[in-house]
Amino acid sequence: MKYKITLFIITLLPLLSMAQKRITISGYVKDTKTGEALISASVYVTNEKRGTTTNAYGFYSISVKQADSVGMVISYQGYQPQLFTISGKTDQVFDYNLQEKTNSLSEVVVSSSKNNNNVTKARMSVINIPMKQIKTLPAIAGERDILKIVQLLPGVQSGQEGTTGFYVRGGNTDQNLVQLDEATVYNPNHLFGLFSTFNTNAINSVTLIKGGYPAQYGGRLSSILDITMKEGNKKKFSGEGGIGLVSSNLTLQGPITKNKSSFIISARRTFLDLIAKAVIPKNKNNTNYYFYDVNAKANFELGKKDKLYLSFFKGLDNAKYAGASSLNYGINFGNTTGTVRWNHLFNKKLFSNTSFIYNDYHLSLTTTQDQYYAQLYTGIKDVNLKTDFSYFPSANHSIKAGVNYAYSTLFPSTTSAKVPRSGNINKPNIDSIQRKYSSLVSFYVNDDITISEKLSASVGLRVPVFIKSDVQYLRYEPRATVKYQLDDATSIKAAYTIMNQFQHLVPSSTASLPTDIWISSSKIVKPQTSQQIALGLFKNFKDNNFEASIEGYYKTMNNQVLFKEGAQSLQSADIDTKLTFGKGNSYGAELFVKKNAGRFTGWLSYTLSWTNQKFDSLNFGKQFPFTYDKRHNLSIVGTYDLSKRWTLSAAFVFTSGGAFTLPTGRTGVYGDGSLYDGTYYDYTGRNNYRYRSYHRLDLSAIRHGNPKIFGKKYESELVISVYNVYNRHNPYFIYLTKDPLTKAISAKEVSLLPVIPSISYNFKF
Amino acid sequence: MKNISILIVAVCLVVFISCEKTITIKQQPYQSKLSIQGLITPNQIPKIYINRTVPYFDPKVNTRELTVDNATVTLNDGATNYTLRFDSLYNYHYCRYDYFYSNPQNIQANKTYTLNIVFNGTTYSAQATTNQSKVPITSTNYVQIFKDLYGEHEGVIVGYTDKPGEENYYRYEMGRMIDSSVKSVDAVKSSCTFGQKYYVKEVGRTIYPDKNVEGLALTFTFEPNFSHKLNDTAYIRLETVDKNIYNFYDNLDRQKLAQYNPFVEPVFIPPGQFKDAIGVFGAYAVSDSVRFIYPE
Repeated sequence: MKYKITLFIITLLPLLSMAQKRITISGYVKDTKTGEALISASVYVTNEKRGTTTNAYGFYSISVKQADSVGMVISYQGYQPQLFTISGKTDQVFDYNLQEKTNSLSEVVVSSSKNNNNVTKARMSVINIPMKQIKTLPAIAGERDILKIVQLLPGVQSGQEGTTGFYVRGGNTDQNLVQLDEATVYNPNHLFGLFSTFNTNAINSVTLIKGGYPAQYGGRLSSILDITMKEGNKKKFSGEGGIGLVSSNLTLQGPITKNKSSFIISARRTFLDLIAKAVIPKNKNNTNYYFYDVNAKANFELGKKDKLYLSFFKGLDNAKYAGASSLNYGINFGNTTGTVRWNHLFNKKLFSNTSFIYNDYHLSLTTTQDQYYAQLYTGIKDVNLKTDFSYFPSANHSIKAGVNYAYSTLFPSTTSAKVPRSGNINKPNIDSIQRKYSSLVSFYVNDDITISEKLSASVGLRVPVFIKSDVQYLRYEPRATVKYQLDDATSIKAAYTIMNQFQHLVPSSTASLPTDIWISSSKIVKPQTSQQIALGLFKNFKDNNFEASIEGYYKTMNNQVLFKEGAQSLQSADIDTKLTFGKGNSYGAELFVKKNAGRFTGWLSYTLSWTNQKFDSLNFGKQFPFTYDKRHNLSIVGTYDLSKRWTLSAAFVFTSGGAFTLPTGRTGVYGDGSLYDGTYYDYTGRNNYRYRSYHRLDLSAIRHGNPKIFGKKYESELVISVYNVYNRHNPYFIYLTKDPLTKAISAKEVSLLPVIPSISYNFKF
Repeated sequence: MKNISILIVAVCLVVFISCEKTITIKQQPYQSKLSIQGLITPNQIPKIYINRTVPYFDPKVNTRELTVDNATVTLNDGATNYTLRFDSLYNYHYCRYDYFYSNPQNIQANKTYTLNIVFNGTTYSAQATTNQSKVPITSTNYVQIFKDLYGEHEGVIVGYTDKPGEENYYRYEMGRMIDSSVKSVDAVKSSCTFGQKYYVKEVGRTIYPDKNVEGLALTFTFEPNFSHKLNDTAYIRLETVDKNIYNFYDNLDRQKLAQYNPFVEPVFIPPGQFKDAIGVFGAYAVSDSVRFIYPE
């Protein structure tokens, strides 16, 4: 019944403010130099002291009262804001071009007073990640990384160093939907999570949503990381690249037809393996590693009202490691995605996008540790067709609606046992792994409503239907975010969301490697469900140069998945039967203070949180902390433009230690020999111990230059960075050894990354 | 050029070299419990092992330090109350004493025994009934290599027919005379027998329930605990154990597998028959022994 009422309200709300004569101003906001769409740029109407933002294609549409003239301010972080006055008598179509700020210290700080979307919009728990800042912050071995920046944001926990993924508001890594041009990237990592698969040179925008989800997003419980690739330079052919210690990259882009269509192709590859091959004798080379990724995109203007986008991404990791820390592993994983998108502008008020998305992911892992091995294979193929409509009926409403059909094929397999005497571990036969097919149809509608000058809301409903041969799940997901403006620079917001997830990653609490196994919902494995409420205070200071927010949240999660105690797959058994199900909850507070303008920019992020789980069949049915329950999480990030030539930056991270399980007591097993190794253990709590806290400081210095080659100037950057400056040995994992005779137990802690200096060179022409 | 390449590789190796060190983990506060292991079978004297659990990283490791020698232990068969006294046997393989409570009165078939332990003012009680059926071994065999959860190893195959109409659980026991040249699977050899022969008995880690195989002719394969040579002789018996024994030792078995295998979730031992103590008091029957000669 409550869902019917919600739908009824959503349908009626557009009719409330139709009385006055209004005009529509619409168009695109682009980069002057390249013609690239600027996503989430602010479009502000000074007459009415309100605005909107551009969508994922740089399109905006806003309805204003008819007037002789309308004042517009167009702004976007890292770009010079532009002020325009246009005629307000009839509907207008205006495409705006913004110019990127140069690295000039004499920069005129144009007031960004109107770019206060973080305060004025009825959206919360959403962070647009500044792409410019990604390029200045220190990175391991000089590899710039989106996910490393995401890990520095409030509400986001990184895993143990070297483990993959990120954890948002108590959710597991699988509860993050990572999308590249709308295609799901199941494993967005290279090198066990040290680098992400996303080449920053090919990325246009990154948005993290961790609560208050608009209804167009679904399928995951904890976050959406929405990444959009660049479209390519529509004005002229250009290139950029970098040479680093670990990998090198090259990006080429240019017009296919000037100002109408363009392409971009970007590739990155490690070269350690090539050097190692040359200098290390073949029979001694038990360690090998390479990764590569390729991004390509082309876009075509088919007319004034139609645009076509083709995107392709492929990333692959291949690693073999034999050596220290009782670990050996071989891993091969990769994502391939392809997207075809068609934008159609029906009129100034109705915009549509239709996408066809293909996705192929595989992970093959064989790892041995202490004479035992685990072998797993996960394969996923998705085909997805979706249509989204954006409708701007009046000044007070912005409606989005759409339908999405996804067909998924999952084929997971896992084996774990003692290494055979021969030492040969047979590879799984991929063709023989049972395929599991499922369909997901989702409908949604969402309305951004301005109720009064102070009160606005974003209200929506998403209805996913999951269909498998033997089971069907229909779910309703109401979404609501309400904003109340206290003054021009202050607002309070509240959000309520329900989310469902039909694909699950089964984590192992014990293994120290990314043993990820993806499965889809079934009769046994019910969809994961979450409910989240969030409340926040948002305030900007000093003419919006400083943004600040404090948010509190409470989230419950049902049908969480873990392996049963002692579950061990001998041969590709049906994984569903090895699982156990429970619930979780997470609550906490997040503080975020960000400085947007001036020579010094950066942010401080602090999260205080608690995350617990409860499974009837685990931990004697008692609640226990989540593996990545880390009480305190602090990040301080800063960039300082020292001079025209030099930019300095630093990042400091502190997190409390994650949880792991150890027995608390032990005693002997008696009677008849060495049965059970003579000892058994008394476990009193799951995840009852904590790793030491994690902290490190990274520094970098960038020297900008404009050298000439063959009489032509190009831009260059020499990046010197130091990861983990004070060489903190942060814990990676702990393992135990036991003396066979005395039975005395000792613990060993393995740390992964010491101080790592690096140097890299980037160029742009 | 080659020097530069070597330098780059050296730098990269430094980057990805892991560091490993022995650490001291601060032991969590732990309340020691009693661990009770008492298995009774007709025509044998009772042996009740009572130990205390100690904190996980506690340096106490030997049996004397762990055993509880001041408990009051009684066994009641419904008619008579027997007080068990503290006793010990020398374990020649591990060169140590194993301590237990016992009395000279043999256990009788088809009786319900009540175990009472009074320790530090607390009473721990449990019951066991000696009504299990003796199930004879029908065949034995040897296989050079077989593969199970414990890995790939040699095995002895035991054949039997499940007793229909009963809920049964089976495991093997095997007795042998060995000397200090023989090592157990944990690589321990006796260091105190100096060539003298001594008797060892091993029991199976895995217990096989008859669920879904009721009344069928069955086999299971086990990995012997002690090394052997051609023509070494052993005596195999089949134990039919009660459900309490099955529950306890099955948990121990899965816990041990999880302990060794880093890819398996740890197994907690749930509270069993005793309130505020862990362990088992159970009954079992033993078949007649079958002589087995190792063919290699």
